[in-house]
Amino acid sequence: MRRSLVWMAALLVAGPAALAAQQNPTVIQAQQAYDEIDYEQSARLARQAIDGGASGRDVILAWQIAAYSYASLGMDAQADSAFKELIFLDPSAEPDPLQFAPRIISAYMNALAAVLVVRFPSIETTEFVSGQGSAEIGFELSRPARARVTIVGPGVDIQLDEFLVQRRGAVEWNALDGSGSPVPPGDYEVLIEAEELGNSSIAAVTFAVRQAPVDTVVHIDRIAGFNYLPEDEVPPRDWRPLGVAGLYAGLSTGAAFALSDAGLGDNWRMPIIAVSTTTLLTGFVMSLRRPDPVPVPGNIQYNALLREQIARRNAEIAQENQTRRRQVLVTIEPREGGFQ
Amino acid sequence: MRRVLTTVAILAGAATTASAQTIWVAPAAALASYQERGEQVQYDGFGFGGMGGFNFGRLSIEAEGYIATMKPDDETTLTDDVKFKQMDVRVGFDIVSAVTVQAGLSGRQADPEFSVPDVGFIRIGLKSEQAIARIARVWVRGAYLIPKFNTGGDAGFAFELGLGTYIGAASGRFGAIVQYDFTRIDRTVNAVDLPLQLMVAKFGLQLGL
Repeated sequence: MRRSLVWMAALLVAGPAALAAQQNPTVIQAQQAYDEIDYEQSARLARQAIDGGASGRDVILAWQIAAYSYASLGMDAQADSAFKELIFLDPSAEPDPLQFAPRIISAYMNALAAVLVVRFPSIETTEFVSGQGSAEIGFELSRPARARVTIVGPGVDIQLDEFLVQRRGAVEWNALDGSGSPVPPGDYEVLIEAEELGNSSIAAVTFAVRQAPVDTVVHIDRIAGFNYLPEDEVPPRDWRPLGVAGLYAGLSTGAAFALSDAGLGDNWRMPIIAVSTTTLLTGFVMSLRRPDPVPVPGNIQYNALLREQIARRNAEIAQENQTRRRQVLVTIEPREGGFQ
Repeated sequence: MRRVLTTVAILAGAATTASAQTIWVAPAAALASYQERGEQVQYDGFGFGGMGGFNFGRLSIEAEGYIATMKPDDETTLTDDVKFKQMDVRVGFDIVSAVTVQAGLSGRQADPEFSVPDVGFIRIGLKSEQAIARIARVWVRGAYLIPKFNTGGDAGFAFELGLGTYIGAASGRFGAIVQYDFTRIDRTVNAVDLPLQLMVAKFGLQLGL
């Protein structure tokens, strides 16, 4: 009783959407009969639409209505056959276990296990430096089989891998061609082929590859947390200039006065005193003046080490940028399309 | 005057061939005072000249000269002016920091001839120079002199003392120089003491090349 209620609720939800999607009048009638829980009528009309040449989404919907109707009527053989047709046409269209009756789910799963199909092929949208990152290609098989994954694009035909898959399979692709170079930009397809005891299935996903240059690293002129120190500093003011000037003026002038011939007069003294006074005044002014900066050896050495570190890092950056200029930033973008 | 200009020209010429070295010239005003034979001969005068120098590592060459018109002192009986021409050359070698040993030649002529004795001498001495700031330095020098006179005579004790100050650009391109040189020579002629003294103060503007 509870299963029937769930089944009815699911139909009420899914029915109008499905009806809106199809165009064939017979399929519309079959959908209406199914919505009215007239399974015999819906199965008959669905078969009629299929036999009458319905195409595209209509035929998929017709097989879906037929399969669900047969399963609901307990016609297991017909349901199995209809589900297999449905799975071949649209391997990803599986009934939601929360919306459909277990009888339908069970019939679908039995049919799925009996056929080999590649389901849910996908490639993720991603961006990476070719050769350094990769994009994941995923898929499912309806039953264990050997899978082969191939990338086909402009001038590119690369078999990525071939391996046994139980149910889910995944392959990484680094966007490099067979020679290790980045693949050219353009539209590509991932082909996933499954083979098992003479049965085979193939699915494809279309995607675009875009290329862009890799950003280069900016050269540095400082290292965070390490600042240049002043290479000179102003020492405290002292009287050394006056002292030296006084010593020299005193020594010279004192000696001249002491060693001069007193008998020759003293006309010569005034210019000497003038020069000595000028020397003393110069020393005095230089003592009062803000002292000249003097080099700080420790800071000079520290700055030299810092400059050396920055130069070394910039050399590394230059080398890294050379590598980056040869690299390509690849963007993988899935597109509508592909086939089963 | 011709000798002074020749020396300056030689120094300036050297500047073009030795750009890695320090070369400087300094036109200068000169103030001179000369005394001889007690107070009987005393002249004071004013003139012009020049100084120049060339440093190459620890080696240095300095040259200077002047021409001054010397007037007799009012207290003497002299009446005629005398023109002095003097040229000095010093070659130095830094023996330790701030101390330079110097040797050189000097010659002074008086015009009219024999108004005062012409003298030439060899000098050997020391110079000490200290930078008291980036823009200022002072120096003192002293030398023993070996003189020779055109009018004859011998010299006993003879020396010169000098003091100078430079203040100007740290690069040495522009600056002012003030200096004096005091010379005393104890001259003896025929066993008679005839000492003489000369003081020359110079005020120059230095141009570094």
